[in-house]
Amino acid sequence: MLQKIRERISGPFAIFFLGAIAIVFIFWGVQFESAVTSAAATVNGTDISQETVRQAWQDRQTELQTQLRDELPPELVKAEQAKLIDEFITRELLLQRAHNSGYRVSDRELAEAITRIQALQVDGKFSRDRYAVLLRQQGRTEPQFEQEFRRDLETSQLRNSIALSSFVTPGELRHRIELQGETRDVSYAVVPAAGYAAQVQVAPAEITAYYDKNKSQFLSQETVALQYLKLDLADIAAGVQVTEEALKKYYDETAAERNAVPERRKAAHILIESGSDDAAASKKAEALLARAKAGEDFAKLARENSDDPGSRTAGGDLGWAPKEAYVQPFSDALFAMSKGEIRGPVKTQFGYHIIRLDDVEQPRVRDFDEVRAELEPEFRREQAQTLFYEKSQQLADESFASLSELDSVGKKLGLPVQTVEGFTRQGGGALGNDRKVIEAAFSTDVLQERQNSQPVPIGEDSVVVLRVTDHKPSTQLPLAQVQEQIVTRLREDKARAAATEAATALAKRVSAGESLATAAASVGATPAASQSVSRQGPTVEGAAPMVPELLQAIFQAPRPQGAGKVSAGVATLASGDPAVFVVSSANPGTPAAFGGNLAEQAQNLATQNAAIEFDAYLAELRRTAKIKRNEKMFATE
Amino acid sequence: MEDLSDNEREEQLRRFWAENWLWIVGGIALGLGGLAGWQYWQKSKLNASEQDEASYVAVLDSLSKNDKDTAAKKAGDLRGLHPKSPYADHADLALARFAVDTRDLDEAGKRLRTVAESSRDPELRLIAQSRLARVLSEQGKHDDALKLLDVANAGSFTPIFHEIRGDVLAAKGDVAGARQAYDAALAATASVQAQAFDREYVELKRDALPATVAAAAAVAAPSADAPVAGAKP
Repeated sequence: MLQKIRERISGPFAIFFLGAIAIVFIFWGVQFESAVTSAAATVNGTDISQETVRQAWQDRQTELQTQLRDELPPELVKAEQAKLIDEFITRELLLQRAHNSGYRVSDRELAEAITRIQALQVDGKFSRDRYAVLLRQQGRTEPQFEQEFRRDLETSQLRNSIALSSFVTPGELRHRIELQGETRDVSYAVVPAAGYAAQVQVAPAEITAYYDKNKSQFLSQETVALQYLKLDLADIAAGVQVTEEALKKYYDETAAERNAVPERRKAAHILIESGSDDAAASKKAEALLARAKAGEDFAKLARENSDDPGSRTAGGDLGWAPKEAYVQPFSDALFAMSKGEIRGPVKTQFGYHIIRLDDVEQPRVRDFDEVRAELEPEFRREQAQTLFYEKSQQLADESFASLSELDSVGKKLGLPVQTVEGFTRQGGGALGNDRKVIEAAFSTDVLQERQNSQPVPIGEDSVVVLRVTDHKPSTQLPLAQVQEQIVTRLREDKARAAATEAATALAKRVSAGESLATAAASVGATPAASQSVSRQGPTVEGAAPMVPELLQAIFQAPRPQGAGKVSAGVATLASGDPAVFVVSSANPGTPAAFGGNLAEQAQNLATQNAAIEFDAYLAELRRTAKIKRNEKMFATE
Repeated sequence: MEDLSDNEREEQLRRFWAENWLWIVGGIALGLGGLAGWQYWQKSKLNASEQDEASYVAVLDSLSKNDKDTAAKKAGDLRGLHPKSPYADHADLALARFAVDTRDLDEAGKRLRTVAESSRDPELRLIAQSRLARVLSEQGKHDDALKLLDVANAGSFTPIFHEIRGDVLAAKGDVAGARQAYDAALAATASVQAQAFDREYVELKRDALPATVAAAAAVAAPSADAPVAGAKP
């Protein structure tokens, strides 16, 4: 074997070939990692690493969790993961396109762009140190970051250039203003369907027909009858026996941490703010200190000189407070002083302080009688919680053991067996509409097998175990029972149809030249006064808003053809009532009505066009690319 | 393995070297040479791109000073030097926008046509085509515009192309055709990704078309159960 190889690799061509391979390895090296890690997706042959996507997903997850303040539902997680991979794919496509098309960013531009990154600036200036620190935190080297950033800049050249050259033509701008700013003069009259209810007839055959056609609408709800045991923390707490002895023991166990009262001191101070002239403030403070020490009235000095608005009016008095209440050099000084002493100036972030210590209260531990009132409910709750936990366990064990009856379980735990009748998939009765309870009641084990349910927690403080004693499946309601309901519905439908027919007839008459007032009067309706409306609603300020269905129908109606002509139509309102409307004139929007600033409008529209164009650009890149997604990317989590 | 003494082995190596040194040294030299050449070529390509980009920025600068002539000259030089550079395309597109803003539609059309026909970036060609069609329509050259709007090959630009077709047909007076085109634009948004597409405005334009016989009949007799408010599928 070796002999054969040796024979083959002699000869000039083989040597040349080996030399070439050697060169490749010398200059490009071997990258083993790419062979080991599989990609999150492959875009036109380039891998997007799983590592990168995973990291980004962790960030996204944290972000979403803070937004929702809850665990993420699995569907959302899936959708967001797919979205994230899509973002990476789009970015990669854009990077490839920009690079292959020949977009380049020079070293100078790259350097400038990096110094402009806000996160790398300290006091508004680019900081080399910060740059190095941030990169180290992310575990990246400068060349890595710069290479990546350079490619991002290339893509923004592409994107920005498309945005920069996008335009709107004068004709397009005019057309848009005329359309979107259009106003119409309109009057309308509602034709209430209720007015036609009396005259409509519902034949028995129609009722039967309706019932037969809509049988699935007339089903009784599926119900179950339930027995349940409920364990409640509050009930247990009320039953806990508290002996004086146990309470004392509890006091002894917890006294150190909860009953300690730290040392407090009563103090007064005068604050001189440093402001712009530190030396002057220091000097002023020294002078005041000398006067205070010489026996001048401290309170008066404080009132006249202190810059602390909080204590100045009280003569500098700060009251009783523990050490943690004050900032550092101040607290150290105050708690090192002896009663009656005046000390200063102490410098803090606020300025210079002159401090007088008025009184000291030694640290101490509150005794049993002092805290008894707050100790008892706490002790009771703690006991109850332990008991609740034990009993929950017992409830779970016993109800599992007895399998399909709760009476014996209730006896053992001292819980009454309670019942709920007519419990539906929407809940009902004393058990309310807790989703977990409903799921348990209608689960296969409980409903079909008639077993006791698992313990179902309701909130944090109670738990129930339930079983089904009776099940009434959904059944077809007989016609007799729903007849009235059907009659009402048919009457309503017919009345609406009649009203709409009348309204349509009115619209025809108005189109032919009759006034809306006369036409509407013939059906006993009164039109609202004519008003001017834009697509957003009435143009007169303060006018009552118009219902959206009517407004939309008004602008979908054809414009009046010629002077003196009108355009009439019918809109169905959300209430089901029809309304007849008459457009007497349609006025194209004017630049003035459109905010006036045409140049700004034009720029806005150009920007919008650019967004649409770039969106299509990306979509087309995706459509024509070879993209392979790793479906198992997040499967292992 | 043959049984050789050290001397024989050395002799054999010597002979091997004497016979083959030219090939070994030549191979290494050729490899190094190739590497240097490749790097030189990359470098010069990079330099050219950087120059092109600088020229493009200069074009934008001139345009921001309203100096159209200098901008046009620089863009021409850029196109002449590297006709396939993306910066040459963007220089022309920027000049086209400037021309539209200054109402020189002939000039705008000329610039856009260059990009639409010669850009190496297929999607940029589609953008330039759509912009060119809009400029032609503005000039009243409706049929020329329609010829450009080859919707069958527009890919993800299909909704955009259909919308412009609607605009052109409406301007030409073909109301039924325009309505069809707008409907086609709206329908196309279902099959291609188009989040930014302004569906609402296309609907508005469609609804604002002058009434045809069929549309008038629809308004005159709405049925009781169908809401009038634009619930077209």
